[in-house]
Amino acid sequence: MKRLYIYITILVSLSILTSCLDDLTQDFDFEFEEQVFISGLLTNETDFVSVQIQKTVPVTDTTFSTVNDVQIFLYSRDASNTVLLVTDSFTTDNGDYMSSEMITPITGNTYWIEAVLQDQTVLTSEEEILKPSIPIISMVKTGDIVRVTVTDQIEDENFYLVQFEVLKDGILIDEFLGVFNDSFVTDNLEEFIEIDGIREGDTVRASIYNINFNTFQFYANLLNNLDDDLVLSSLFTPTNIVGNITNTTINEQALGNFGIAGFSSMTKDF
Amino acid sequence: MKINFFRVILWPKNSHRKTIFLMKLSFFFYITFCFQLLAFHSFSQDNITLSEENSSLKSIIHKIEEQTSYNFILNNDVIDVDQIYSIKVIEKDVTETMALLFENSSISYNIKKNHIILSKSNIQADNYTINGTVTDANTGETLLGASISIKDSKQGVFTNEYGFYAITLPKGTYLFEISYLGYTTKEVSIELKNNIKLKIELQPSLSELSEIVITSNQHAKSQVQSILGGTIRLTASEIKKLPAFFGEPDIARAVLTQPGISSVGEGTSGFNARGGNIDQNLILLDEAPLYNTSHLFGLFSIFNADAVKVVKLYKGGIPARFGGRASSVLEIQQINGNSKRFKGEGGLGLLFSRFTIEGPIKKDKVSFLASGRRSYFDLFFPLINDIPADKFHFYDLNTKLTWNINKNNTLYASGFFAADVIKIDQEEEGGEGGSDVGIDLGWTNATATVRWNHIFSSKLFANITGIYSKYKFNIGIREDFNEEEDFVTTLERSIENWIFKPDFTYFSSPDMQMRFGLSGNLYQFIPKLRGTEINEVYDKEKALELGAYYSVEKQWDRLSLDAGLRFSWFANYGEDTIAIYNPDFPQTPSTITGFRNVKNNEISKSYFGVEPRMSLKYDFNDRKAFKIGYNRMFQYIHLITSQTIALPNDVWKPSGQYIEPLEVNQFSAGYAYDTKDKGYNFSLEGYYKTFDNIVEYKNGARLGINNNLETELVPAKGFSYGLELAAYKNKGRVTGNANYTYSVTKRKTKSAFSSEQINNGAYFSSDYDRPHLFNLTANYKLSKKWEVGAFFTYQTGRPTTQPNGRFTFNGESYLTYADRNSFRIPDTHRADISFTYTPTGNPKTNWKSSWSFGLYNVYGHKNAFSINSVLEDNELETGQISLIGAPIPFISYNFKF
Repeated sequence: MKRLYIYITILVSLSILTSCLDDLTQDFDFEFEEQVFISGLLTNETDFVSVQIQKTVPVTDTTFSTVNDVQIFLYSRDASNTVLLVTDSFTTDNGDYMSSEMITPITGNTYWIEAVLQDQTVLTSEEEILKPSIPIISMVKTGDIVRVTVTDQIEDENFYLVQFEVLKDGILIDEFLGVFNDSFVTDNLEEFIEIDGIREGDTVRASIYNINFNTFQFYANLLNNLDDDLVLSSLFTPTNIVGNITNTTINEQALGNFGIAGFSSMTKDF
Repeated sequence: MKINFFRVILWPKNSHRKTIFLMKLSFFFYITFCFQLLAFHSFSQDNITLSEENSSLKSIIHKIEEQTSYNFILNNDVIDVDQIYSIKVIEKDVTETMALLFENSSISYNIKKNHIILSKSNIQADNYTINGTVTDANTGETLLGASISIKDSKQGVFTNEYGFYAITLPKGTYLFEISYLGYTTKEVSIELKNNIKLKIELQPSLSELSEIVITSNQHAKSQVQSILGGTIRLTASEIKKLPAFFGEPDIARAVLTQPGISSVGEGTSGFNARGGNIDQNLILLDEAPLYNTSHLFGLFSIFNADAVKVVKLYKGGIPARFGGRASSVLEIQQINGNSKRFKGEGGLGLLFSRFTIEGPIKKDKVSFLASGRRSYFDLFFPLINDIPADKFHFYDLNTKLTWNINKNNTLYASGFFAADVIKIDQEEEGGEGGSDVGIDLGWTNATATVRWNHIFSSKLFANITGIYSKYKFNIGIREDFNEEEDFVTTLERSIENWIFKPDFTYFSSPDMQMRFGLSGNLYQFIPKLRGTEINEVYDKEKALELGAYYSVEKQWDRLSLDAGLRFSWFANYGEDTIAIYNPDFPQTPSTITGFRNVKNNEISKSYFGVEPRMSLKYDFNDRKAFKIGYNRMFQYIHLITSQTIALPNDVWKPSGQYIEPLEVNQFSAGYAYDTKDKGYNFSLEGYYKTFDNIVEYKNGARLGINNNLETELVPAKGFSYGLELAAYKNKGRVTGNANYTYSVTKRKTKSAFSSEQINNGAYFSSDYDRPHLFNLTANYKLSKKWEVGAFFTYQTGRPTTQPNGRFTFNGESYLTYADRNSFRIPDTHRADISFTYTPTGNPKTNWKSSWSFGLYNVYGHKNAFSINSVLEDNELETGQISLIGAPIPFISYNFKF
């Protein structure tokens, strides 16, 4: 769909042959508003929980501004509606908060975090349920296309975060990230996703995250903002990268997302 | 009428002889009274000689008073002294003269002493109606909005949008004055002693090129006469005088030159009327609704000016007969076709050409019109290597058949077809194995209207209309991978309308007319996805909109009222599967708790609306008027667009379970003023509008087919207010107008959930909130052959959203943004100029031609459409996009025969 808009824009420009794009990069001095951005993804695998926290920087600043003085709480709610503090013990390294111990999340429980900033501002992620993982059945290469077939849960509308990593001799040479939902093909038990451009000798690692809607929306926002085309982006109102984080101190949506996902992965050499 | 009641009494200077004086005085009064008693008979012997033909009663009274010692006594509010009378008497006495004068009249007289007292006859005067049509004498074309008035009187009516008029008056002789912009005013004397049908033909005031008529008319642009505020009327000839983009007269651009009308940017589709979204304009072509009014994404309007008779825009007072859209009505009437002789017209331009043929199939009985345009700039694409377009053109066709069956019946059948044909075939750059991509972005818009005008009685006029309208667009993608079978996917959306509208006008008196009727509109919204591996129809939606209305237009001496009431009802019909959401959370795919199945033709949700419309005008005199108005409008279908500009593939969505009807309330007040010779017209109008249930896309909403579109939408409310000033110059070698608008338009989402709110629920400027708007249009008649047209516009830059920071995630940099629309792009301005050369034609032939050439965007100002920023290779890039960033010369050859 996005490609269509590129064409539309090109056509608009071509059709009049008089449109122009002027570079104003040096002429603008944008206002700056410092905000906190939180990110993290908790899967069903037993692992350390990781949360990244940073501050935004001015638009022309290419540095990375970390926040290292935040207190983080990870909560869970089980089927009996009992709320449990999973952990509040995190070690900090350059804005990366790692839980002190490994966690084993339980499918069907909900999880969320609370981040208390130095100024007592509280940022909370929405409770998200840990969905079951989506098993990958096969990865088959035809020509330069690799088809990854997964088992769908037809009773639900699922939201997928899909990651393909292409490696050559163990070195990452290409990466693809996308989000999908299965609203178009809900009646099929098996669904497939394809990636092209795979050569002989490549290794493909496919990872599928069964995510909740708000996390899906967060990654969709991220991917939409990756576009670096000035003409295309002029047609749309830009979107902030928001997901499921709320500043509960002032009851406003905040930047970032802490997602909960059922995870599955398959790696295959071709 | 001046009535003299005074008698001069001389007071004696010698007051000391009081007694004698009093005696004399008593005697004097006695004698005087005696004379008074005798006077009736003696003065009645005064003879009168008159020879008056179609003279006003006022002038006849004056002459009688001059010739006799009689004075008239009458009440101006009861006796219309402007009525026309004819009388021829030689040396007749008053009694005979009066009897003759008021024979067959509703006026009775009483002669007492030297006074003649006039009063309204107690016997109910017989009223008769004169009705018919006003047409162009050369073409037989009906003239809409022509004035039929009693000369030197305020009484009069205008022809309706079908050229029909009716005026009911007491028995008598009247001198009617019939006038219309660009035509010689005609006077017709009528002795009204029974109902009369009268077809009035007006002669164009210039006959060189009827569309290039430059004339003045006292009612040209005056807002004094119209009761409704905020109405604008444009004729094809006015539109053609404007400097045009690539030389093509453009109705949509002409509308944009009017006060209170703005757009997101030049070259974009649609217009915004007084802060309303573009979908809030009801655009009717011969009463058929149109959903896409632009070719090539907004560059050219779909309306062929050669086929258009008149354009009327209602943005303030909107009559009760219109419904279904909330902010304005753009009513476009096609010409009927010349009923006298065959006539052709056309134009050859740089990018496209047009041709119109019209004429009688049976003279004065059946006429036809066929008018078409086709662009051909795609023919030049092969010369430019970089353009991947395989097909890239547009065309449109207007047709009409008019059958004057008899004096009481006229049948019209009109059709319109427009299309963009865009196909792109491009090899994928960098694609290995030679994969390529083809894209189809075409759309079609077709309407068919059948109208029957029937005169039930001398006072009751009916227009019964049946309409079919269909708008369809495709987005097709063909992908060819590695010589395998093509993978084709086509998304198709169509909107169909079946409309039936009986409309009646009852002309009860010259001061009062009533209009009432019904309307029914059956909608079908059909999205389809088809292709190599899929062929499905998604959530086909059916809806029915019904309306009933009544309005009355009444004029008193200085006060005029146009009041109406419309009742509308809307239902969304199954078959449908409606999601049920957990009310404690925002509506998202993950908060669906179940589904409600709606059977075929079962109502899934219905709404109704009561829509009062009221306009009141107070005339200070015939050149100054003050107006106030109030409108409520409901809109049951919505254009869902996630871009700042409208594109042909935007989704139209009917109100339903989760999308409520849009409600707009507008209050307005204005003052209209004409100079003494009516050479200049001025108007000032202020308005305040509220909007409720506007549909906004949520931040980051997903595009494409979605069975639960409500999950991507959030309801909003808003307001707009503004002040519009306009001045028109109608006389002299230079004519034109200038207008200025100050306006504010804000929106505010009203979700119960903070995560859905835009700008955290605060008011924000709409995309087309452009507070200052100034337009200047001028035409200068240099000579008989040369004419210059110029246009200048200045507008505040539109709101935009700017970045206010950045962060890094997974090694990529991302921008963060300030509140939506909290900044503005630079103000825009542009000047256009055109020259029209009309050579002296060969008087022996009917061939007339003209050359039009000029410059669009004379000084090549780069008007920003947007200023936005992206991160490319971690570096910020900010750019200004100007859709038309250079002067665009144009030349076209126009002809008619």
